Amino acid sequence: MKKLIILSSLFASALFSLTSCEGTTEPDPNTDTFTVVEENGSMKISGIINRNYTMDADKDWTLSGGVFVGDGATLTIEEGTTIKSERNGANVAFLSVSRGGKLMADGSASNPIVFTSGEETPAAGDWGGIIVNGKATINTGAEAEGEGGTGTYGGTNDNDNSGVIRYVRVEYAGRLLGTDNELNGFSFNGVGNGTTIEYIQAYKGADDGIEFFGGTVNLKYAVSTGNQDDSFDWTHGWRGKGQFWVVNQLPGGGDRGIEADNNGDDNTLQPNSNPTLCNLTLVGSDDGDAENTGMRLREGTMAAIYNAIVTNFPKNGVRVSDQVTTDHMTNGDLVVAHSISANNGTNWKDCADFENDASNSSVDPALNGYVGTVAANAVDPTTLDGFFSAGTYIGAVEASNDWTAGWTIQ
Amino acid sequence: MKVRNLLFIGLLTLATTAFSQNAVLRGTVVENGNASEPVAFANIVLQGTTVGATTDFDGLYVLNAKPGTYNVIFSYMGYKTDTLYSVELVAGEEKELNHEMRAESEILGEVTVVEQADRESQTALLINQRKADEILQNMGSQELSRKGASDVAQGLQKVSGISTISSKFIVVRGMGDRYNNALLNGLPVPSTNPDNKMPDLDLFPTSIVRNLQVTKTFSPELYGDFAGGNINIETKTYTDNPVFVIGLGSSFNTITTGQNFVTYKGGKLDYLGIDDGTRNIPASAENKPVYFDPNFNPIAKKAPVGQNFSFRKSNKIIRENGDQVGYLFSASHNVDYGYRDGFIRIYNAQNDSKLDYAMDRYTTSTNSSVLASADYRREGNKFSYTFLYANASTDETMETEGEHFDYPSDIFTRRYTYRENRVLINQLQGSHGLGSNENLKLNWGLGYSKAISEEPDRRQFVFLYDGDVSESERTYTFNAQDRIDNHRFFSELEENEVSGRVDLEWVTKYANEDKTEVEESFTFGLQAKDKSRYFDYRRFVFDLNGFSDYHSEADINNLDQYFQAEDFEQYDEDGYTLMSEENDVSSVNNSVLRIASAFGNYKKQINVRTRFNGGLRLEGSYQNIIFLHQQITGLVVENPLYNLYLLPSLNLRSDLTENTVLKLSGSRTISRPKFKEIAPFEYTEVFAGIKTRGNENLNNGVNYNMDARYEIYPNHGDMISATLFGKYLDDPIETVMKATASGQLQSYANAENAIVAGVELEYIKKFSNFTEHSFLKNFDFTANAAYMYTQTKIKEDLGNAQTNDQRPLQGASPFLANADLTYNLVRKELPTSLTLSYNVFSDRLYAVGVNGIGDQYEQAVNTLNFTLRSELSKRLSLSFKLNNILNPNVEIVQIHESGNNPIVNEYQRGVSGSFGLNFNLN
Repeated sequence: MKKLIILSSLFASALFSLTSCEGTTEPDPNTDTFTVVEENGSMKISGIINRNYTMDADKDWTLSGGVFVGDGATLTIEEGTTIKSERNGANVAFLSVSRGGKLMADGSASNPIVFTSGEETPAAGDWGGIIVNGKATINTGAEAEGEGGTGTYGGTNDNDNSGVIRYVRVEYAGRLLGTDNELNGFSFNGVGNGTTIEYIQAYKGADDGIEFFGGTVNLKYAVSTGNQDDSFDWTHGWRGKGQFWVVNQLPGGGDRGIEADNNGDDNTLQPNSNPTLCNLTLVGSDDGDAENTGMRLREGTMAAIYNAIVTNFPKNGVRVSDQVTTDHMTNGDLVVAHSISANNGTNWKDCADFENDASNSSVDPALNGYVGTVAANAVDPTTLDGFFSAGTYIGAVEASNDWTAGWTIQ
Repeated sequence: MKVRNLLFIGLLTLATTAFSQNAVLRGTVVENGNASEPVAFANIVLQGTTVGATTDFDGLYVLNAKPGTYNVIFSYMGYKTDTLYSVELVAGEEKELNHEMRAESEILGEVTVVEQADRESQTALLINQRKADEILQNMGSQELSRKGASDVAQGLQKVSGISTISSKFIVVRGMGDRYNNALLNGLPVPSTNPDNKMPDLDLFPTSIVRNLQVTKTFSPELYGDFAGGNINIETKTYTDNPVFVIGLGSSFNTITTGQNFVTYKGGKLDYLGIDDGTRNIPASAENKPVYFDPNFNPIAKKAPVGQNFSFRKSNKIIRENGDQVGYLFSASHNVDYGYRDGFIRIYNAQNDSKLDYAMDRYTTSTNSSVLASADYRREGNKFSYTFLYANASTDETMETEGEHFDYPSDIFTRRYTYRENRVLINQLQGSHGLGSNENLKLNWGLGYSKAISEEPDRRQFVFLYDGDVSESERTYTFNAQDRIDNHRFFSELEENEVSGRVDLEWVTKYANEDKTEVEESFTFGLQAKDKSRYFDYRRFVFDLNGFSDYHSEADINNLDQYFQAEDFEQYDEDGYTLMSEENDVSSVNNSVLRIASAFGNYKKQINVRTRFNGGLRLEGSYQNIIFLHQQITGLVVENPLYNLYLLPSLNLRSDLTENTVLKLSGSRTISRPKFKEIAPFEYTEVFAGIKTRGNENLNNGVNYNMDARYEIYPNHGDMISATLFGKYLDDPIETVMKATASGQLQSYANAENAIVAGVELEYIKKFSNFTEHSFLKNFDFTANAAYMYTQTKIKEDLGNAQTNDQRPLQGASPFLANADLTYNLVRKELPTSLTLSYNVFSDRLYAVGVNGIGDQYEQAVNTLNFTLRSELSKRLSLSFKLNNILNPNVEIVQIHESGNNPIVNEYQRGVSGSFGLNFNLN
């Protein structure tokens, strides 16, 4: 078997300009496949991180092109660290965790980890966001290729652990590379449920905010703000659990609050997308085309969604499409219950089963922005699964307990 | 009507067992003015009797007859029939009667054009084919023009077992581009197509072709990356007599000419197929704000008729010292207009429509050629120089409109694509007779070629509209969401190829103990080629997010108003970047392929009937592609591939009887990955097309080929043949579909194996061989058919997502057939021919389905063409063609398990016609 020859001379020459050489954590050109170069006061990192490496909070960091955390390596990012995309970089910047690699990005409410654009005037689509590739099952074959050459994902280990992502904010990501080829804020590709993901925000991306491609990873406390395509998106057999999700669309662009698919090529491929979600607040906006929809459940997805508020979407609140998906709804494999769809163009579209469910309503939830909950008809999520925290109310953010405060931006 | 279809069979037997009191007539038949070129298989008949004979390979004949006075008729297809009157044969005596025959091409050429007949007339080529040890087929310029083929691809489609895709690419015995080679006068031709090894074959007009030679079995002097066909385009060369011909013509198409046609303001030299710089990237593209002259406005008109003109001048000069200098200079230019409708549709495994666009395409195409050749002969030495320039341009306006499942509005897209492909070929070749009796022959050739393919300033805009509103009331808005899809795109490919060959052939003839003559020959040769390719593209995209602040509605027919220089400046002042370059660092890539080879070949006439031809080729290659890593900053990646192979081949030919030949052939050959197939970067060649990514782990494939061919020559100029072929491909490189997060991703892999097996039948019949009926005898009939089985098995791979792991080879039709019926008429020595040509290919795999979606098959297409060629006087001839008379629906369907196969594309080509006049000014 042939191997690609990678001409490492560029790496080697780049290293001569290294100014910060203290400690053993700096890359060794003989053994390492990544470089760190100080440039304009920022540590510019590029290549494949092939061993454990730490990004210190006391330095500024720049991602130059696609930066990969290799199989077997762990990239640790200290709380409070800010990482920017390279200004006018020749390659699209992103951080991709390969299968078998780990990202330990454990921030805190007071000291979140921030990934943002390095451009003079930051704008949506400046870079490619965070991609995590795991070894959990997907329904597009045994493994698949991520968008934009960000790596291979999928496998057989639904308990796979890709690390911890907590209190992490990704801004101005969602780079479009071509038709059907775009990067998101966070892309969770075949990620297993041994991974911990909590308190993340995708802010003003050009594509989807947070997207799941298969896998079983769970997500608690997530905010998707002002993303120009879908705020949350799942497809290809995602079966995780989710709680406390906020969609906050802005007038600058947006499509669906949640776009939920099983598989567009074949709506019946297995494993079937089938997450359980509780305590969601989806607040829409009109970006001018009057087309934004709150929750579009289609292409054969199953799901159980409780305690959700869907409001202010100019087109539809909740819509079900495609025969296979409709059949799931009829058979009880696709459920939206104990939820409110109110003040939308059409609150319930092609989903009479949901509309007629007595636990659902279209009563104005009277939110303050996305903050506020409704007590009536709520289910106690702790009765569903041990994953879920207490939250016997409809909505994601209680006025008395704004968990988004401090570490997210509006 | 007198049928004598069995008369000639066994005539020689009859002659040798004749009674002793009979008279004997013997002699040699040679070509007129060329005593060294015997006419084999010529037919000699004593008029009014059943006595006759055929000539052997050396033109010798002998016949026995009762004494008497006879008129002796010499005839052979492709040659003028001559009658020698009152030949007296005396009992017990031998009479020698030698005869020179004139090739018909001297008479029935394009306007009495006298050319080197041996490579143009069908009959002469049939002899060449019969004599060859390899399994080969020829199509000379006469047959090409009689069957109405206007470019090389059209001509090749008439050869058994060959079909074409997109009128450009050939599939030989089910095997596509990778398995075929194109040569011009025996030296390689570079490719104008970034995805292909072969050049687009519609680039070469038949007006430059003397003969197309298709070799389907391997012999050591051929490049080893071969398993389908080796196409050698022999170009026209000097003529024995001065020729100066000018041609003019025009063409039409029933669904194009005079109908609505959409184009735009192009360059001043578009008519010649040359962009005058109008489509260059302007200097203002490198500034801020990036600005281009918009030129988006469509121009609506009626499609004019196509036009073409050509001229050719050639001659041969014999100097006092006997040296011969021959030359040819020819040029042609053709402009044509085409319209095609159709659909772009995507259905998923549930047969739900995901995409449904109706498509209109308006195309202006040009095709130009300049061919110049000079030949110099002095005694046993021959030098020739050939220069060929071929240029083809297409300028297309494509409009699509319809529904996309993920968009609430319908979508309208207009795209202008201008493409210019050209090749420049220089060849210097020579051959020298050495030694006593010139039994040592040295042949050599040097070639330097360049291929350029440019796609300057492809422009595209995508709009949204409400499909429920009638077309006249419809309003459009800009599609700001898909930023990448509003763009200008520039791409450039340049391929340079240097090639050389030299071989030394030693021939010896000696008498065996039984006094039969034995011919033996050794050939040793060297060949090398160095091919390098450069490819790059640049893309400028419009960010229309915020554009709606300025323009809420889009006038799709006057876009220029929104994109003036002052607008760009104003937007820039407002802090709004309307246009920017979206670069892909991997767009630039440099590829190289170097091949060096040595070969030896041994041929021996084992006995009167059987020839052995065996050889070995040692071929080493180095292939590489160098590019910048698409994701990782500053990383240069290359993927070198070194290989060395020993490729044996064996050909046996046996003349079982005077009329039948059996040929057996076996060989081992290889197949190589194409340049981009080993480069692991993603690219999308066509807008919204399938993403493609190479596979760095690809290896060469190895092919084992077996052929058996049986040829019957029942009458002279007639032939029936059957060929059985079988191939086993080990590690063949096949397309695979990768599972992907979104869209479709195609890649390549070495498959487990592939099997190709089939039979080809050919039939050539001259009606005059069985009837003297004044009308029927003027007909010629040729037909061929192929039936084949192809199957490949893809290796299991975790990342594969194609629906079927076993499938036929892509582009392989199980059944192919051609039939041509020609009526030849000569009045006052002015020939006229009328030909009906029929072609059919059966359903063939068009695209591979993914994730449970069915594969797509192009449905069988029947084509019927008519060609009339007539000489009105010695100075003027005309031609008239009607192509695609049946105008069938071309359909591509997607297989669904329910049997309800949705049609993903369908269109008709319309009936095309052309009319041409040739003036002979000599």
